[in-house]
Amino acid sequence: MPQHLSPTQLKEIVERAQGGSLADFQRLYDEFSKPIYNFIWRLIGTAEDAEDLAQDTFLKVHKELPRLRDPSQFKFWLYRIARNEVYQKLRRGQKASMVSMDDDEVNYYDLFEDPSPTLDPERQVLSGELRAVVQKALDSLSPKYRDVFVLAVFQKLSYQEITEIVGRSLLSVKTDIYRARLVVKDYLNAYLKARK
Amino acid sequence: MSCQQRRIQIVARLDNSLEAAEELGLDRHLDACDSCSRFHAEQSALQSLLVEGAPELEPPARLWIRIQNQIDLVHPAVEAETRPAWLDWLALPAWKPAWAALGLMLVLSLPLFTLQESVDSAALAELNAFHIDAKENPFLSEVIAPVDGNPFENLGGLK
Repeated sequence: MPQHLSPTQLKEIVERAQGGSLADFQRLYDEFSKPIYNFIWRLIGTAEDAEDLAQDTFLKVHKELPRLRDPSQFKFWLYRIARNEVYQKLRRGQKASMVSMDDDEVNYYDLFEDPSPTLDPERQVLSGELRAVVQKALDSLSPKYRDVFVLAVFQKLSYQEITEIVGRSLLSVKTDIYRARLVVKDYLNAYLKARK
Repeated sequence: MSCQQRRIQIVARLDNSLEAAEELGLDRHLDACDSCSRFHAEQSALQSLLVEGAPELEPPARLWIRIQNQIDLVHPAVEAETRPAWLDWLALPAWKPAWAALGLMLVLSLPLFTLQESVDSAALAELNAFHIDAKENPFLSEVIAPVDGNPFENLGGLK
């Protein structure tokens, strides 16, 4: 279980990792592997892909780290790389090759798998019915909504931090999270009513 | 402010991102608006359901091994840890005040060393002036007195 690092500690570790220290790079991995793995998993939907993309993310981080100009921005930079890896994977798959992720006119739903895929056995065992429904609700979101929703609700990042990662305005982030919540609530209505 | 804008604020509050200046206005609106109060309750329930229904996964232990193996393949020499462990220990932030104090002490004591050096030089010059006569010590005179004849002739040497 990693000890959470203060901003000063994190900056020092990033600087030493930039200097080539593998031990310090491993400390960064220990600190961020779980949130990044889960972030990717919630975006991509399968544990197997999440593992591959988390590996690609950390390898890219290791390669590009010496070029990171401001070590205090490491966390946002790391999330941006992870997000890009997911988008690239989605572009490579299916019919997404012609799609620009920054174009609001694009039908983002086309980028993802069928919203009702057959769950892999690992997830069925781990999660149960509710978990599957939550993932199905996430699958139904467009990437534009899904990444900000996951960052806010599951990663517990502030809206200000999310703007740093997704590169959109605070107003846009607030509105997208609100809309995402409406969609997810519709998916989970049956469970919400059962709780009353 | 419209109900939709208030609902965006409700969601922001649930995500711990509502600005402090907006808190009071939102509370007043919730007291007055049944529809937004219901929305608040529904979204709170949704929040709990999401946390309960979607716990985090632990990344597999093999993930770091995979990453490390790839790094070793790409940068085998560069990535070797060459820095000794005691350097890392000395670089710990806890030592910073000690290093700062040591540096300050060195800087402050520098004039003492230079002063001591000048005192020593003056004392040496004084000793030379009083106790070594240049006439008796040819090595201190600028011109070495010429020696007449062959200083070795009495020894039966060169003529």
